[in-house]
Amino acid sequence: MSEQVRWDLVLKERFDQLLSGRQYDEIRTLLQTDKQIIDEINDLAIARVMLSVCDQEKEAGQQTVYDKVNSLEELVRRYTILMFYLRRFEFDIMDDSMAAFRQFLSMNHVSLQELFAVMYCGNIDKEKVLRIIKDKMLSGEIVI
Amino acid sequence: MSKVVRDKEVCFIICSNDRLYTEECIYYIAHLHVPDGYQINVLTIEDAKSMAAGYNEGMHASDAKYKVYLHQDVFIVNKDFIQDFLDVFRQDETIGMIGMVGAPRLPASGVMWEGPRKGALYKWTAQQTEEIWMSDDAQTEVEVIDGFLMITQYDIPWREDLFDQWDFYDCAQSKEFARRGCKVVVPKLGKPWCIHDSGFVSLMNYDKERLKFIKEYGQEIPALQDKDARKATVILTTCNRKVQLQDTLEWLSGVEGISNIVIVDNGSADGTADWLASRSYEYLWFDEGIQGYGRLWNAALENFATEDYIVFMEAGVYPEKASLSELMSALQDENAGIANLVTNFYDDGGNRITGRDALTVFARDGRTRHSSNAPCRTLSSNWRIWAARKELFERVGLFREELQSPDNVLTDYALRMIQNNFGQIVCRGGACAWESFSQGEEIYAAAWQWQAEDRTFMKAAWGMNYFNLRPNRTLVKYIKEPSEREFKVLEVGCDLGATLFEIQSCYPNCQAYGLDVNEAAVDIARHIAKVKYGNIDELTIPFAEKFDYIIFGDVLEHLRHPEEVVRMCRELLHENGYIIASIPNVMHISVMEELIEGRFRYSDTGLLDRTHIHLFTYYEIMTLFQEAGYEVKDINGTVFDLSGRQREIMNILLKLSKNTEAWMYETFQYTVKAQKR
Repeated sequence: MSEQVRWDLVLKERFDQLLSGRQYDEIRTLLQTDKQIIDEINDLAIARVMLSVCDQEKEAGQQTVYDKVNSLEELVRRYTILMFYLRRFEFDIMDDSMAAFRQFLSMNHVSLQELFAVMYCGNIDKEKVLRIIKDKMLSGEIVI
Repeated sequence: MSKVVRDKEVCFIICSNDRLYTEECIYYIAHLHVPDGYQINVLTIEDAKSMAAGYNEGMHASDAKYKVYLHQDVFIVNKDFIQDFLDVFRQDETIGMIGMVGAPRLPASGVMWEGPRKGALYKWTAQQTEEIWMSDDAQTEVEVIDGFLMITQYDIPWREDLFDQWDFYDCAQSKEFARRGCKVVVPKLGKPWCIHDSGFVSLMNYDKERLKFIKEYGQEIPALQDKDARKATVILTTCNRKVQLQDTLEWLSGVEGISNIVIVDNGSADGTADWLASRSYEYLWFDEGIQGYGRLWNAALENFATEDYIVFMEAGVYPEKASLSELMSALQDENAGIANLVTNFYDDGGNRITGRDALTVFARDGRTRHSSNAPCRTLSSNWRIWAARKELFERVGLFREELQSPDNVLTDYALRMIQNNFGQIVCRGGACAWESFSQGEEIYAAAWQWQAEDRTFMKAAWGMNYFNLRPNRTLVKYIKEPSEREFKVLEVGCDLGATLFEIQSCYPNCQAYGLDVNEAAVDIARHIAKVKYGNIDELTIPFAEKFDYIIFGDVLEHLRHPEEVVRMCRELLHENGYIIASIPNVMHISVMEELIEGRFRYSDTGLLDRTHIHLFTYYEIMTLFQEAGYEVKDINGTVFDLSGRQREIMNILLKLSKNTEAWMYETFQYTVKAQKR
């Protein structure tokens, strides 16, 4: 059993090394090597979700989410906070957090691709959240 | 019970080691409606030694009558949560604790998720968030509840003396309430009351804690007491696999519930017989060469005394240690003829699972993937390990010795059982790993010959060439209903009813109807659902009912009038009812690859099955449903990796057309969910 913990730490450490060297091809290989192992390490499973975001951002000629973070911990934190905000929309408890959300999007240069990927993974009622986000973008309350 | 100090106060107690999650948890608590006259407060216990220790600290620090113990990654989304749980406590003072998910009867293993559960939650993993429904028909008294959220109205100390980690504190607390005469319940939730962001759960200390729990509370677990009374005879077959046989026998020495093991040696020439002769096992050695399994299994039944439960298995199979007990428990259902285990061969996505550790994860996930953890009805059996009650053989008879290959022997037996109104079930409380036949190649060689001979016999016996025993789970997943809801499903082309079986397992209150043009298949399927003979291409069906779902699994392409049939189904569907269909894609790149070489070869199965009358592409499917008065709500595809040549052709084709995209060539088969407009 302790073997699993070692794998967890080794893989996370390896991810951080590769990220600091911006070795994205190697990160891809790492995250796609063994789906079963990666799925069991939550942080790396999140990194894999974000890898597809990177691909879309790259295709659109944008800076990628991997370029915007310095460690796996930062990446996961960013994902988690974004998910929390989107959930608040879903369960109608966003109220006074709107300004903080806008600030988070702006300071962290969150792309549309990232926002939608997190929404897809983190929300039950995706249609509702998408509708709210669209409305707020149209009204200028959210700018990406 | 401890003295109640403030009976209009609710304290939320959270063991915290992650600020971000804890703050979010508190954010949701702050948005709850607080009933008039009540106060709430929140206690966070930082870096507790164990969950039980943290909760004891919180319990002693608060005078609130009502305490909500919750994980930091639990977010309460039911804004009337407080009023709702107060209502439950008020109706019955003997209710000591409430949970969101719980087990009415804890399995003998002590592992809650291995048996049926009640309740609901929203659950998030890194891949997705989903609504998990166990069952929510009414408030239910349970034996134990899940610890992600526990609400108490009396203070009872948590067993930190025993449980110094993060598991089984919840089951122990449930038992402590029971010891004091208090009920533990899961209320009727309506909608899930909370989200649990558990991600992947580490089970590092799980088994150690489980054993502590069994030791302390074993006498108070009914399933464990029942289990001790039941024993099985294991009939273990082998052929030239001495090492695996030895390994399996050693493994079985740690498996619960075995009375005796009968080894059937199918003509081994590797010294197995000599080795067995020097041991004290009961065994049967066929020295006249390899025998078919019909004869093999009958010989074991006829020559040895057996217990009331019989487990048939192969050398090289490794059942989880509580699995045989779970099989015997599952066979308590008098309608169950054969019980199978979850196996590690393929998961639902068709991925091969390897290794015994992966087995545990697979078994657990397999259980949680289904809306119900109750034994699942099935048509397909795993011949490598299965169990039956002895009385079954007295009522249905022995195996047909004309059949040789074990899968055919068991399929034939299962069909005979169905005709006698016995079902087959997959017991989700147990799982097994099995190793491939790297040895015993003689069996492999024999099996090839057996299959051909068996096919002739099966066709004569059952009037069918092919036995479709596996449900189409991709289509079943399009049905999104609370597990207790009553609704009606019609499957057109239901064959033996495997998919209807699966639907009934997931939705016990669903009324399943089937229609098929194969009378022999209808004769079997009518034992498991309301199935009738009929050809929908004649634009009439023998049912007067209206349906919530009509399923066409690889059927529309076989019809002469698919447009008219789909249009007619509007009349058969309730308002907002759905058609769910799988349809092969004639534009798949493998077909294009053939076409540009001037070939369009039909085959017995697959995309160019010679019985396909109509061919569809994405656009044709969309047109079919839209013009017939449906809105396509969801359309997905099955894809396989393309060869380099196929990719090259696809890229050229994409340049030639502005109306096509890569996925249109990559998709082998489309699955569609279309709603009646």
